[in-house]
Amino acid sequence: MSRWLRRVFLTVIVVFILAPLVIVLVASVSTDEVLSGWPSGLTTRWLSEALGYEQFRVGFVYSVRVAAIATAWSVLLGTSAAYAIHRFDVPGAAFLRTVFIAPLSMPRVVVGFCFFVLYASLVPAAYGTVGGVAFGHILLLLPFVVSLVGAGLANLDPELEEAARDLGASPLKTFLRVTLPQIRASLIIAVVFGFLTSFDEVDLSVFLMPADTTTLPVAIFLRLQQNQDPTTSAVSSLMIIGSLLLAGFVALAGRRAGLFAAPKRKEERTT
Amino acid sequence: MTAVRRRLGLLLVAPGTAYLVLAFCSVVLLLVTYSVRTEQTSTLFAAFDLGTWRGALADGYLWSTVGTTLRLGLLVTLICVLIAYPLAWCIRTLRRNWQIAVMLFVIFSPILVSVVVRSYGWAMLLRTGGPLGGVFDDWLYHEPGVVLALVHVELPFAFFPILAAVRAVPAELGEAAADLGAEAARRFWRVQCPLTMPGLLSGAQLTFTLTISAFATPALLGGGRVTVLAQSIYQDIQQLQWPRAAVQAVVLLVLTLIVLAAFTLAGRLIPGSRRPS
Repeated sequence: MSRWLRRVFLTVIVVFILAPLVIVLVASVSTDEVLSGWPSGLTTRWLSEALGYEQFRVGFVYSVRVAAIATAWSVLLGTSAAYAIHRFDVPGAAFLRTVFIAPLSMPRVVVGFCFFVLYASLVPAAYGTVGGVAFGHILLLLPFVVSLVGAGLANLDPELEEAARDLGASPLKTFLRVTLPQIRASLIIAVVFGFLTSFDEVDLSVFLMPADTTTLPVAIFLRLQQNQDPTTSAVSSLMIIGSLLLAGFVALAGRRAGLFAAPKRKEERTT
Repeated sequence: MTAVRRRLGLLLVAPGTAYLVLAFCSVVLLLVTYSVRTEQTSTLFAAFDLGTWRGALADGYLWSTVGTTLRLGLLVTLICVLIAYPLAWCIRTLRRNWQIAVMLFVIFSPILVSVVVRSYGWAMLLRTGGPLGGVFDDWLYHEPGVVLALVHVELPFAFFPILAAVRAVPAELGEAAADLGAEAARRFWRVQCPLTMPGLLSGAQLTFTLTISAFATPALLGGGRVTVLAQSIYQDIQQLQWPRAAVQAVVLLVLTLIVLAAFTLAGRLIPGSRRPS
């Protein structure tokens, strides 16, 4: 491909990827009710309306609580499982690894429906509660955590841990003092990625809550099915900005902690 | 010592496994049991009845929904691969690190944004009076609009496995082929392309399985006119037709498993593209 053609292609792709995000951002500060081109004026009216909209406010708190619980549990369960699979001679380690990744290929709608049936028929108390939704989300996040932490552990030298043990450190102390600091990059990524995944999740969550108390994306989804107005753009904008800020913060923090040092070196070698 | 470590390992892996057994296996079992209950029943302990299955399989509606779902899956996967593959090679030719970083971030960024927000963005672009409303008449609330938005949603999942494969092809191979007299097209088709087939397959596999189970995007951009399995399941639940929803969920699950198996088989059959395990 010629240089020129390549440049046009890349530009088209960038425009295609960013266009739907940009229009949401522009619509949220534009005075026009229906955006057709360049906005005729700027306003913060939609933003303040979105902040005052009860369902969005409730949804935000709900989403944060679900995401926090689901992330905490999946990191706890996933990290210990990955550590056991990689470091202790657990019988059937290869099989276990497959089992922990398997939920990833389950369609989320199917998972959502299954949990709905489970709650509706056996544990009605869990339907619509933060814990009930979070319990379902753990299934989505666990594969990420196990594979991310697993990859982090695979890059480590097990001899460092052996040395710590030879020097008399207990397994817990070895993990906390030797292993944990070395896999913290994988853990940070797992936490942030897990939190965002849970926070933004719709396909599964939509089955687990009544229409009046839902997570934020589900509240937006349900509102969009009724009507589309700039208030929805405004709350969507806040979600975009929040996600990007969180990701940017992690990238910066990670860079300072030397998180990207290892893969970068590898890239230089291959190119 | 090894016995102690083994026991400790089991102890560590047990909670996660217990969760999976509880959440994963039990719900699948529940799903299958539910699909063999009498229609109109929303209790678990109803009589065994294959009527829902028989009715659904004889009904043209299920088949048309499956047809739409698979058609969208094929189209979106094809378009995603056709974009992602040259895109990955383009990015490989970029020399400056910051250019690579910016491109990768742009391509990854949609993953950080809720699928609802992205679909809403497309709805705003395509609607009458919107920036693209005049150009792409009638795309919104019809299949082309759903395809367009789904391509946007799934593109990163097609792109990153392909990029990994493209990056793993050593530059020396191309040079060696050139030294032996192969021109650019031949170098690509005979040397570089076959080596990236495993990445292309896993990208396509991921895109296909994600697309056939997509819910929010078809619901928002199809406007009720384009019905995929995922939506149909949701609608049946709202109409309290739980066994029928279960039947469709089983169908979707089976479709997903068939797709996974087909791609794994394809990966084995394509010569020289055996995936490193």
